[in-house]
Amino acid sequence: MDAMLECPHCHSGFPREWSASVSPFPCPSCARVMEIHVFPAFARSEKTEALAGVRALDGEACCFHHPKKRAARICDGCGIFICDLCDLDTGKQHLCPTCLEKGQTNKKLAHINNETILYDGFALGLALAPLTGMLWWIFPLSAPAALFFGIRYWKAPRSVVPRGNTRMIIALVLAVLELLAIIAGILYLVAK
Amino acid sequence: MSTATVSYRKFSATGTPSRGFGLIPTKTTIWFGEDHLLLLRRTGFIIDFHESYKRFYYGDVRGVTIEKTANWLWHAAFWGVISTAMLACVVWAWYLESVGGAIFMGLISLFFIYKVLANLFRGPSCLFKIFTAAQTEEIPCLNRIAKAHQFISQLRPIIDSVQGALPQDQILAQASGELAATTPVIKKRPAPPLSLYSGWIHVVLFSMLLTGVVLNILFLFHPHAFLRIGSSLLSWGGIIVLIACLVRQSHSPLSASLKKVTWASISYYAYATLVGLGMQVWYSIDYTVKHPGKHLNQVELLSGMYTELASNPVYKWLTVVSIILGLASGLPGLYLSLRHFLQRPRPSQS
Repeated sequence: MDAMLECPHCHSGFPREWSASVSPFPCPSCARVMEIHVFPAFARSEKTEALAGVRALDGEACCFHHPKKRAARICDGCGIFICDLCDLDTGKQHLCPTCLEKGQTNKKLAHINNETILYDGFALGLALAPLTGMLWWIFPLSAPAALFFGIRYWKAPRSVVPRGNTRMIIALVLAVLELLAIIAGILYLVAK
Repeated sequence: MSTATVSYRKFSATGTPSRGFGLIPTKTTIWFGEDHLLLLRRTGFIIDFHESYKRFYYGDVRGVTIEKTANWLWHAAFWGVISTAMLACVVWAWYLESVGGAIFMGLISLFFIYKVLANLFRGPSCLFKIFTAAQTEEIPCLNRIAKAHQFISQLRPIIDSVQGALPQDQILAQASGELAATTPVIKKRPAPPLSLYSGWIHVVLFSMLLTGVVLNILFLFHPHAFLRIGSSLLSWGGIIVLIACLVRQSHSPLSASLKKVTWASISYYAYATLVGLGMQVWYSIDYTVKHPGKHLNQVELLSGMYTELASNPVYKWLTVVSIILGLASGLPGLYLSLRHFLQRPRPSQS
């Protein structure tokens, strides 16, 4: 066995004597200095036969999507039997492909959600933009828009990591103040 | 389908992707979850408006790689040159008895000095990658070696609790055994041969650099325009040789320290060039203001400039800084390049 680890830069394999060390060493091919730390999963070989699923015998529960395969689990989303091939481990739940797709589309599964639009950032940006000076003239449009985003998306999921309400509150307060300024301005012009 | 909430703990590091500078800036942070690592990318200009996530389950993480990069040297050179130029402006403003100007420039230069110190304090830079069976992903926020090691020291106990604790050598021995049994032998890509570069261009570079330094020292004690012109010519020639050295040292058997010193010598040449050009511009403006309607040719300009500059205390101090920079990179550079040149493998004589 000659090659075990790959250089992340040039993808050439390291000979075994290189991989025995974790101190910085130059790649024999591209000469980039690097260190590699491996974890036990590195030694785990892929059990492709297990992933393919076991054939169901007569009287055994079978997979909903693959009737010839033995059921390995029940989908935590819809409750159907699923085989090893259909079993999608999301860390918290075991889901079938349909539930996973639904969860991703509807943003119902926070732990597998892969993007979030930060409406509080939008609202704050809109409320602050006129105060920067150069964009002062957009405040008749940006203030109502900031107020809309603040109210409409008050309960929208913010982020999967901790993120408070401060931005949204500041955006709403600024938007209200800017709207009051607009109303005051209109009243002043009318009175004049 | 229930909505699951995950609690995360942030690892104190923030960074920007090393490649692909887009119109809208992106910041990345890394978070420890209950059963996975979360790589979070926030996009937005000053205020973030979009987040995207990548998850690495502890059970799937096979390893990490830390690749040393020279980014921190580039940053040090860049911020160092700017802060030195700013400090030179402070000294100049002080010399012109403009206290307000000196304070203003001083406040600006404090920011650049902070950047220099922060860069040095954070230490050498690196490219950190996590690899699983399916992907290899760069973690841009772990762009300093010290930070990367701190991260690994926090990650390892978590991984050990999920995957089991095994020493590195045992993991590699197991991997080699299993791979040998299950996979065909991968044909190893032959490594390109290292060039037989003797290092002579480096010897020339550092000799030129030190000669320039010697001329500068002589200029301090015996100010003469020819000494300064000679040192300027050596600087311009040195820049050309420096470019040749940087090209030649790639894939060469030169030691890493010699390569670093060669990169560091950029700071000397950048400083010398900036000071030389700055002084030339200043002298031209000063001469035009004092003698309106009179023009100088290049030779008159240089000789007049160097004669006048010889008595200028600001210029003397700038020259002292240049000498220090030159000695700091020239002496170790000449020593290392000569050592390599003399110890190079020679063809055997029959």
